[in-house]
Amino acid sequence: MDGSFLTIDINSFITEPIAHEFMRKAILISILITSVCGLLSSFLTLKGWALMGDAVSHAVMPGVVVAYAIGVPLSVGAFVFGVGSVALIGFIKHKSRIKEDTVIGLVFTGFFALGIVLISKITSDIDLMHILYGTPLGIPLSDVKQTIFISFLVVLLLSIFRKDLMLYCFDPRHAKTIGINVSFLHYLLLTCLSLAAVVGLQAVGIVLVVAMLITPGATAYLLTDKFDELSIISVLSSIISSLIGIYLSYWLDIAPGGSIVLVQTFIFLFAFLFAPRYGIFKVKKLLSSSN
Amino acid sequence: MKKNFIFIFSCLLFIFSVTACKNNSEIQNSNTSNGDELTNKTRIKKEKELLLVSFTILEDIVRNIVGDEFKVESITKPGMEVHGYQVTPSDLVRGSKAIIFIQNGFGFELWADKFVSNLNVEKITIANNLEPMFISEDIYKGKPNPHAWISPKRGILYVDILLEELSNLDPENREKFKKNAQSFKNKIQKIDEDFSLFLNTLPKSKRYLVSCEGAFSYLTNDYGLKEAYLWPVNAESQITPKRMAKVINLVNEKQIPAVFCESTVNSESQESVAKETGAFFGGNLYVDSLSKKNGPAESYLEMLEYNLGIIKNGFNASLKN
Amino acid sequence: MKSMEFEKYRIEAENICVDYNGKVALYDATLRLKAGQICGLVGMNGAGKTTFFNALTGFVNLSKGKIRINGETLKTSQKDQAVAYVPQNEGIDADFPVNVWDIVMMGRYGSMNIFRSPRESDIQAVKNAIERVDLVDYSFTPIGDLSGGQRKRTFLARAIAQRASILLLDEPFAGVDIRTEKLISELFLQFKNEGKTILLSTHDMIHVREFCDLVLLINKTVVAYGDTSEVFTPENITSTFGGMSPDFLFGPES
Ligand SMILES: [Zn+2]
Repeated sequence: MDGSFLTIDINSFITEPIAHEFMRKAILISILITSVCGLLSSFLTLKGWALMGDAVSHAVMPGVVVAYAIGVPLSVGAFVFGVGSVALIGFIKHKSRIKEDTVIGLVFTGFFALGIVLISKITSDIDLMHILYGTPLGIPLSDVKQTIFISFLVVLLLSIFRKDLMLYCFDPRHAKTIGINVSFLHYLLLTCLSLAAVVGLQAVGIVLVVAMLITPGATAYLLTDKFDELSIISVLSSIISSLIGIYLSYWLDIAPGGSIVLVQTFIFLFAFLFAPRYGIFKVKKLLSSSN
Repeated sequence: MKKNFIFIFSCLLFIFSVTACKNNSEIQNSNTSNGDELTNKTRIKKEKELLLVSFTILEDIVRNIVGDEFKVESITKPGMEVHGYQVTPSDLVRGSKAIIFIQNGFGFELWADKFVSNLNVEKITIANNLEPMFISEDIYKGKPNPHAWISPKRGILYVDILLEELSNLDPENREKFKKNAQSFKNKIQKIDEDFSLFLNTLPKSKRYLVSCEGAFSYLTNDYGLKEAYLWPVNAESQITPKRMAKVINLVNEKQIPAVFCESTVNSESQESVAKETGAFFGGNLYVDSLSKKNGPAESYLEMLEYNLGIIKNGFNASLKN
Repeated sequence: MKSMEFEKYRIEAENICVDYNGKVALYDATLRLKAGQICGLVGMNGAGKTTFFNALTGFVNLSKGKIRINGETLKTSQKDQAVAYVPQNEGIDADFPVNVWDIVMMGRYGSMNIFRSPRESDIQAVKNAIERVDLVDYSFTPIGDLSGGQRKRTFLARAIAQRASILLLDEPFAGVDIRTEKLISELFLQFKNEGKTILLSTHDMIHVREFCDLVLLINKTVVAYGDTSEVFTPENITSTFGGMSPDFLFGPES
């Protein structure tokens, strides 16, 4: 009796939320966005660009405001400012003796402040501060199309140049020596980062998109020594976080963006404690059985 | 060559954004200077004293009472978010010139206490003389709902309260203010009657007002409507799937014909509700701020009319189908 | 097919200057190396050894001078995979999720299609290279699990798989075990016979005497250059190392 009661309960636990169209949409869009960010995250982890991810996500803020003010799609403005911030970081680093992390911190806080100033100056009909948070609930169709297109583009670019990007992250000097265009790869990765930030901020907002760009890669990094697996684990953990996160947000009545990121953080903590080789408790079971 | 390009690109970006900002403020400046010219023309004898109010709706009500006896200015501009506004130095400058600061209260202007503490100015708080309704959910649970002006019936109370306070401030003009207030109240009353009349034509079971923010408690309470909303107080990050599901279930169950949102927030979530339930998405209601120039709600009366028009329209359009 | 004229020198660097943001790292350095020559690059830390390598790989731009590799420009030589660089162990991220096979395969990237999908010939080249450095048993070991010597051999294998005619080695003997040292010295002889040209930087003076036909002493610019027996004198070394005692540098046993 107990058992059958339990199965019914679990059944409705899973089916009740997806009976709503907005929930199905939110799940699909979150999975799409977090996977793209997760895939990119595996490269950012290897390149050591967590701070850069933080920078770009914050730097898109004035872009969104300006785009709103002149009436172009918000993602266009966000992208232009994302890439612009990166170009500025590169320029200042190149032309001065200031260290890179200082330049990154300097530029992105400057851009972010510009965003806040613009918001206070541009009287808008909608509250632009909401882009700091964002929500996957009720993304309009035009945005969904845009999201799918941008996601597809990023995945395509990262797939085509996967090995070159890996080499670029691992040993840029060798890449240069054998005639691979290193600065192209540099800007390719940054472009993908800007695009992912644009996509991610719709679902979870500027503040949390940083987590989606950093956490899955870090988790995967603790779990594998193979590059292919790193990307796969990163994407998988992103997808699982989206699913669990959105279900939790339904059943616990909490904001979905925060919920997704919180699940990602828990998965990371789990890996941190129990990863077979690099976890604190080094659970060797998996490893020895596979050998 | 490439580096130069990048540098120029960055410069352009910066200039671009700064000019975007500048253009906007120029527009505002020209607006206010036009206003100054108008008041200059009507300036008769003395330098007029400044009444500073917290938001545009209150500004319009106060102006309707005092006529051109005082200069009336609002801290927040049309179309702006009011709850979490950040005070600028120019606001403080204006505050120091004002003879009084008028606010709504009930925790509406989160920034007002700090603002006034910097100034040596009297303040009038409308909420002190109003009967509050309380927010029933969320972290704001138990706090008074500030959006009382949304209901025309309470709007009349606003006029009465302000008339009393302003007459005390300037007893010489008591009669004039009284006359102004009376004619203003008559206009509000007409909208009030109009709305009641319309609601009577609706079947009782469908008298629901579904909105994004729970800002309509006073309106729904005063006119025998029931209210439902996606989140209790403006903070979009607080939408949760459960809330959305609750609203969707309610709309389905009661067969509520139309749902609405507000002009200052993203209406996307509510549009999803409409799509999923087949209810009509009625459009955006004005709540915290008047619309910008040439918008549909430039004054308090226009705002009330516009809101009630949107609600009527929503129900009519959906009942026809 | 290259004409004999161009075969003459594998490396021609003429009066090259490199500066980083106006800070001069290397000036007026000239070097010519023929096929089959092994040249030692000796200098203090910060004397411009790494900068010299960077210039030859095209990793930094010259502010003056020119470089020809096999008689061609750097761009062409990069396309031809002519130069291979074997990094210092410290210059490698040992936590990177790659194994020996992956790294050696990177030597083949330059001649693959855009997706870098290996052909049969690439797989064969990688296999051979791994055999030559005696790492067959470690083919799929992550780089983090290798010893310093094994890591060094991995990158040598990458250079072999690349089939480069010029090898640049940054401190090839630093931090390696005896076995690796022996294997590397054997490989050097093989490379020499294959007509490859080797430029290696080292701190270890014994190795210079042992392997190098030529020595290039630098301290921001060329201090001395020529046959090891002629150039590698205590006086030259002292001036290269800014007046430090050569005894100290050679170690007590020399
Ligand atoms: Zn409000």
